[in-house]
Amino acid sequence: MSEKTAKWLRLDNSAKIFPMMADKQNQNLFNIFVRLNEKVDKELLGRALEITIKRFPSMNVMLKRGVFWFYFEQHGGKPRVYDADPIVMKKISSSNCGGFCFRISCFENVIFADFFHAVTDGTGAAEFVKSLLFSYFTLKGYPVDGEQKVLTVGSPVNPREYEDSFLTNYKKKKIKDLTISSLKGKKSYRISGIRFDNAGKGVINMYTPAKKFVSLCREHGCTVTEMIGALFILSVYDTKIKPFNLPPQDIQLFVPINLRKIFSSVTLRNFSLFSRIGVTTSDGMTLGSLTSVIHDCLARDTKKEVLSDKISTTVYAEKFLPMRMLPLFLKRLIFKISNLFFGKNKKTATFSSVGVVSLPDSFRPYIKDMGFGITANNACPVTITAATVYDTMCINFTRTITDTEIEKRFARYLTDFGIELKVTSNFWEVDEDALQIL
Amino acid sequence: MRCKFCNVEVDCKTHICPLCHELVTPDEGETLSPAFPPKTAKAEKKRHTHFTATNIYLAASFIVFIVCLAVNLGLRQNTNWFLMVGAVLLYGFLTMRNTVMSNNSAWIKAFWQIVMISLILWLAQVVFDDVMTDTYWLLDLALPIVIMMSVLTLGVISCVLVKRNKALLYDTLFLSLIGFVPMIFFAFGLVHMVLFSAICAGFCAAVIVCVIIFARKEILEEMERRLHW
Repeated sequence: MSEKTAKWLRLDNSAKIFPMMADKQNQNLFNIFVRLNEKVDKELLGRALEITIKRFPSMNVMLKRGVFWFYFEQHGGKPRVYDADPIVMKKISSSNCGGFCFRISCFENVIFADFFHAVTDGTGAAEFVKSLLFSYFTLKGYPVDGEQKVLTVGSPVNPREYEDSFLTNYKKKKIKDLTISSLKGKKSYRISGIRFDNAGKGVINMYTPAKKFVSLCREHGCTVTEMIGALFILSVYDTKIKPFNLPPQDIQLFVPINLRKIFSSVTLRNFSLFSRIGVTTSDGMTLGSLTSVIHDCLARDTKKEVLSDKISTTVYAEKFLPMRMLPLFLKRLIFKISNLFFGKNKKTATFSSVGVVSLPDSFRPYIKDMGFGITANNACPVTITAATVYDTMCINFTRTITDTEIEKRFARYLTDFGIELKVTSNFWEVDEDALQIL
Repeated sequence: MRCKFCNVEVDCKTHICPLCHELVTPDEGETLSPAFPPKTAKAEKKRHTHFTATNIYLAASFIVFIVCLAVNLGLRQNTNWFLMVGAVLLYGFLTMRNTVMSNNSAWIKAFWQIVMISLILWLAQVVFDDVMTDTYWLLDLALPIVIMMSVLTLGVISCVLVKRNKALLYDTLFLSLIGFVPMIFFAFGLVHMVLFSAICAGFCAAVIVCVIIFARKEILEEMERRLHW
C-alpha cells in the first residue's frame, strides 16, 4: 500500500452518497451475523479484530468532512469489540464505535458485524468477517486453514482491493448518451403498518437447507433470487393489499447487483449497482408469472453494456464540474431536499440476494450458521436478504413495523412447498413484560 | 421446539413463535440460546426521554429569560438588559450545539465563536448605548482581540495535540486568515484606530509563517485531502 493511500482515501463513487443521506435517524447500514457453536470469547475476538484490521486498510479508516467531499482518513486507534446492543443495526457514530465505520459486537454465541455502507458493500464486508473468523479461530487454537478462500492476515494486500472500480470501469460519454432515466424510479407501493416508536427494528431469520431450496427452485424453473423475490411479492400482496381491497399497486423491489464478477474486480470497497423489479399487482398473479417478471428484469439489468452505461452515468454525476465545485454543505442540502421531494415511495422493499458465501471447510465445526441483514427505515419499512453458508440458507427480514404478517405468509408459502424452516427473532414487537411473563 | 400453527422449528430461546406469537413448548432436554440480546426497557425508552441536557438547558434558559424580562420591564428600567441575558443564554446553547457537541472542524468552531462573541458585543453596544457612547471600540478593539484570542487558543491546542491530530495545524492556519479581516475593514474605512487591527494581522501572519515553516508537509497533505474535488 502506497504512503499516499495509507493516509487518506477518497470515497468511492457509490459511497459518496451515503454520508450525505444520513440523518439523525437513518443511516445506510447492513450487518453480518455469525452464530458459533460455542459462546464467543469477547477478549479473544478483540485481539483477532486488532490483527485482522491491519490486513484491510480500506476498513481501517474514519470518515472525515472535506470542503467538497467526505473522505476517509487512516484511523490511528484500535477497534474494539462491543456487547451487542438490543437495537439491531443501531446507528454507527464516532461515540459508539470509536470513529470506525463498522462495529463488531457479540452476544452469547453470536458475532454481529455492522457496517456503514460508505466503507464497503456486502462482498467486502463478508471478506472482512471471514478473515476475522480465521484470526479468531486461530487464536482459539483451532486447526483452521484459509483454503485460499480467506484473505489471511499474512497475505499481501493487493492494491486493486482498495481501488474505486467505478472509476476503473468508467467510459467517458456525452451527456445525451447517458442513461439517467434508468436510475430514476417511479412511485411505488409503500408497506404500511404501525411503526416501532424508537430506533428499534424487528428481525426474523429463517434458516433452511440450501439443497432442498435449490431443488424447489429447479422444479419451478427459476433461480433462488427469483423464487424469494416472487414469494416476497406474493406475501406483500396477500397480507397488505388483497385483504384491504386496494386497487392495483406497483410493487418495486430494489435489488443490489454485485458487479465484481461482471467487471473482474477484486475491490473490497463498494462495487454494486441495483436493479428495480417492478410488478403491478393483480388477482391473477402467480408464482410462475412473478418469477418470469423478475427473471426478465434481472436479465435486462445485469447485461454488461447496461451496467457499463449506469456506471458511466453515476461517475459522470460525480465528475460534473458544477457538482464538484459545490461545497459539501450545499451538496448535502441539495441531496436532502431532492430526497425529500423526489426520493420518497420509490421502492417497496430492498431485497439483497448475497448468494453463496464461500467459507473454508475447516471452519465448519465451529460455525452454526451465518446471515446478512440490511437496515430498514421509514421510507423502506421492510428489507429482505438471502445468503447461503455451507448447506444452510438464511433469509433475513428486517422491519420497522410491528406486524409480522409478511414474514408469516412467506414462511407459510415455503412450508407448504415442504421446505423445513428454523426461525429466530429478536421479538422487538413483543412487550418486554409479556416476554418475561411468558 | 416446533410451532404447530406455523409448522416451523423455533431455533432460539423463547416461549413464543416468532411468526404467530402463539406459545411453544421446548422439547425435553432441549437447550437453546437467545439469537439476539434481550430487549430492555432502557434500549426501548432511551430515545423517548425528554430529559436530555439540551432540553433541560433550554427549559432553564427560558425560565431565566422570562424572569429577567418581567423584572426588567416590570421595574420600567431604561436599559433593556434582558436582551443581553437572552443573548448570553442563546450563546450558551449554540456553543453546546455547534462547538462542544459538533463534529465540525476546529477552525469552523472557532470561527463561529468569533462571530457569536462579536454579535454579543455588538448587542451590548446597542443595549447599553447610554453608557457606551463611543461605538468605535467594537471594530477597533474588540474584534481584533477576539480573533487573536481565538487563534492563540487554537494554536496552543494544536501545539499540545499535534502528535495526535495534525489536522489542527491546518485549522490554525485557516483560522489565522481571519486575522486580516480587521485590516480589510480598515481599508474600507470601518476601523478608525489601526493599532489593534495591525497587531492582529501581524500576529496572525506570524502564526501562518510559523505553521508553514514547521509543518509545511503536514499542511500540504491536509490541504490535499480536505480540498480534493
